[in-house]
Amino acid sequence: MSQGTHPIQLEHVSKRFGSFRVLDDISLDLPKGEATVVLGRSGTGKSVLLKHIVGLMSPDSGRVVVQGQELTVLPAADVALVRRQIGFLFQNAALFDSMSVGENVEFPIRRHTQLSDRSVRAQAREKLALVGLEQDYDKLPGALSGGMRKRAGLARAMALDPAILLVDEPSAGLDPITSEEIDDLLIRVKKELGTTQVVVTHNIPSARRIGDTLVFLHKGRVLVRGTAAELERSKHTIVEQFMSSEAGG
Amino acid sequence: MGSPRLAFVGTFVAGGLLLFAVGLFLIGDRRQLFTEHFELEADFGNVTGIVIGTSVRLAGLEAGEVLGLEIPAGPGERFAVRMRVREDLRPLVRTDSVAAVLTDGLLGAVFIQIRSGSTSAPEVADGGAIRGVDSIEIADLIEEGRDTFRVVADEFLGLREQMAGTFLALGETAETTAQLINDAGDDIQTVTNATAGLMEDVRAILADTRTLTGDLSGGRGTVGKLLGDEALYTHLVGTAQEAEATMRAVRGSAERVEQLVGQFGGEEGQTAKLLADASDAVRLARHAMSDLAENTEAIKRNWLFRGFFSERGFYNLDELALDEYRELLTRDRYTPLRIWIDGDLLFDTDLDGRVALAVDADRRIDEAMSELLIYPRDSPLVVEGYASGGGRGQEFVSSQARADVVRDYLVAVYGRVSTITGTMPIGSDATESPAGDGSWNGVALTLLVDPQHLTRGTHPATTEQ
Amino acid sequence: MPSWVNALFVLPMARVGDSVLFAGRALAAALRPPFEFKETARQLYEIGWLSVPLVAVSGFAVGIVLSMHTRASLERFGAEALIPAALTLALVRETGPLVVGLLISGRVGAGIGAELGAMKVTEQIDALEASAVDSFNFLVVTRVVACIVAMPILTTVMNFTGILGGWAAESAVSGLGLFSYLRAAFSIVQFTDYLPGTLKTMVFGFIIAITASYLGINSSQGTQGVGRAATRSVVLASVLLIATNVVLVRLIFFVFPESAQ
Repeated sequence: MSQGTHPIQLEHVSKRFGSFRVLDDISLDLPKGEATVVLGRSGTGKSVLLKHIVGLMSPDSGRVVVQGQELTVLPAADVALVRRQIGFLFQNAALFDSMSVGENVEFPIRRHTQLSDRSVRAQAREKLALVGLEQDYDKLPGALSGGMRKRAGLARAMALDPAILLVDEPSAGLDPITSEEIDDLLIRVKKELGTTQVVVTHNIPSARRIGDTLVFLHKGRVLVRGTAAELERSKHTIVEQFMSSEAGG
Repeated sequence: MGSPRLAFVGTFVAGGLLLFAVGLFLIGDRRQLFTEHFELEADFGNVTGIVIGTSVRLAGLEAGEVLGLEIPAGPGERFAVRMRVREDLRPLVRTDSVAAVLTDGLLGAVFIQIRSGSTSAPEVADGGAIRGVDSIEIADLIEEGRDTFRVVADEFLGLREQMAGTFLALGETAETTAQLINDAGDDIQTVTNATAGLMEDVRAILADTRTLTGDLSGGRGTVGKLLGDEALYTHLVGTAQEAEATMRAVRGSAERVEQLVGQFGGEEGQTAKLLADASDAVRLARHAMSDLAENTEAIKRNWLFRGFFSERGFYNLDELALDEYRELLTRDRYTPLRIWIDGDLLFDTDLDGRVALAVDADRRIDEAMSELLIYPRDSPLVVEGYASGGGRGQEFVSSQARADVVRDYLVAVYGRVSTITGTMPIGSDATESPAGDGSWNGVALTLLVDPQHLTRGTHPATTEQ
Repeated sequence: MPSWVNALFVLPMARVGDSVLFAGRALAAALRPPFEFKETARQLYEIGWLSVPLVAVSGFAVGIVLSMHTRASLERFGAEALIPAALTLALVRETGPLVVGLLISGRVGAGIGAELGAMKVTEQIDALEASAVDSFNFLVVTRVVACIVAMPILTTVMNFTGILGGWAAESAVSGLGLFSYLRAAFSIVQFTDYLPGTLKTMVFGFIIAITASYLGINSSQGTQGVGRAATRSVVLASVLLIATNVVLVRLIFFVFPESAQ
């Protein structure tokens, strides 16, 4: 197993909810330091795929190997160790409502390091500065706009400088300009920190900007995999439709 | 989680625990858990309401609680109740202390009252026993008191003769003491007279108490009331004991005077001193006796003793014949104040043919009562029923019914104590009635007032409403 | 199996079983490290400290009302002297614990149900898990522990403000001093009235927190689901609390026969 090149490997992963097959024998190797964008229509299991990578869900069959560790067989304590190396930016940022923006970013640092209070604050402030929110340290999430929330969520996901960043629908609920800002942030993070990224989206412009590789999921399977240009040349009607419609819009 | 918030959490938890502890302490303090204790035992024939934790009181103080109850081996034997009592109260608990089961008011909790004992008896030991008395036995206690009185009286009779002899001997040897002898002689005479009167009173009180406890042994309320006057009783017995001791001292000094007189034939200076001593002793005795007399008087004044039952039957007028009742009213002890109320306006006959109060009756009774309310509430009141027409039998029945209705009203509305509110069916015969023809048809409220309360103004003895 | 059997019996019983397992898991986790001290303290602040005004004011009012009622009934027997004791006994044994239980299942039950429901819907629970935090330990156990700790304290607050209210009502009528009132208040209360009455509210706290957490965490998607979780938390917690109280009172009488007198 080549851990160096493939921090995330999915081998024949299947998952069903009741009789509905969400993931159907998916095998994927995601290269290190690259951004992989997972495309597909709503309900094709893109988010479920992300949750498998971070171990929030377990496959019915198949293996999920992250940073060389097979999550499916790992004891809970070790799963926690693997999760420390993963940042997760949720669709609506999932900031903890009861904490201030700063405390949200501090949260993973406090949970997983023994740093002094001062260092924790410094590190959190640095992450917030990275996303341009250093002025909003003491605000509550409820007081932020959608774009700011997402940036704060990104700061929290990056708090522990994870090797892997999972992003669920970065453009959801944002206007195109704000969406573009988020994309730029993701690209910067990848370049500056060499983070392996998995981004789920159905926003084609965004996918083009971010993605080194694009994976198109359909009916629980990988329909096409390749660069944006390769996907555009794809003969699959559904991919064609998807790429053109979204690109135009 | 900022530190102010943490401070609130701290305040919340610490304050809550503190408050909880205050509650624990308030309960524990009452149960005297945090003070030193000793144990003692008392036996009772009746343990109604006593449970583990029942409180024990002494001289009005919370003294401890009941620890346990031993069930007797067989019927007729007594229950042993084990108690825990505050160590600092131990000097008050003597081997002759007595425990009784009492109730705090009508609905109150049951508690055990320990009466502090006499100074002469030793303190009770840890784990020791004292006597428990059931309510009815209070009469026996008073009986015990009477023995003390008898001793006092005997001492006095003996003393008088002895002193007379002593003074006589002194008179022969020392003329200068003549005046002293006279004084002392007067004192002795006074004390002797007081003793005779006292014995009479004590006998009367005893008779009353026996009647009461004998007849009402089941009725807790009244006996409870009697027990409530226990302090008074204790005081009386205590004074009697004191008097007895003083009397002994007097006798002692009289004896010494006698001895010295015999020995020396009377050196003037010394005899005078001795005589002065003896005289002082007699004066002390006189003090003691007047204390005793005062206390006896206080008991007599107490409402329960105030002659209600010494007169036999105010609380149970059924025992009295009409003549006896009339004779009772002529005694000096009470002045009867009678208020006549005409029956025509007072009574109605309800659908079942029973006598009932008429619509306006309450106003009339209230008017009548307003005349009587200035006198002590514990004065006995007799509702005399009168009815004329229909033959003697019918008159009797009607007058009884009328008296009953009015009495019930007085008990219910005026809160008259039922044991001192009686009825007397008289018929039509009423020599003093305002009708002028020697008969009456209605009721008369007859309040029996202690003459000493009659001093206020010139209230007519009878009024018509 | 006919579908109505499924709907009427199997599914509800499955929920009951699930929630009992949930409760057992919470109880076990509460006793086993790791302990989330900081978060527990935060919950204690939310559940305990912030409930103090509500409980204190209610207690005072309850005390006044109880005093008026006991006065009305005891006056008839001329036993006014027993009003403080009767009120305290009623308050300490049953009224205090039950009223606090119901107040807290209203305030805190709804709060927990809604908060956990919202956290579930907005993926905050997933976010916790993704940060390698045991969300059950972090969210449920802390609330359960906080409720168990807070309830007896709040009950004590209720008892004392209730007695204070009783005194206020009493002193308005008879001018009795506070300390005389306190002494009279505790004159017939026994440890067996005070301790079990107060400590049984720990069970109430457990019920409230478990019910609300279970319904919150299992709330269905969407804001409607959150609202429903909050409402059902209050209803179910209150009903369970009242029913459990019956059993608890019986149990207390069995263990402390003196308190049945």
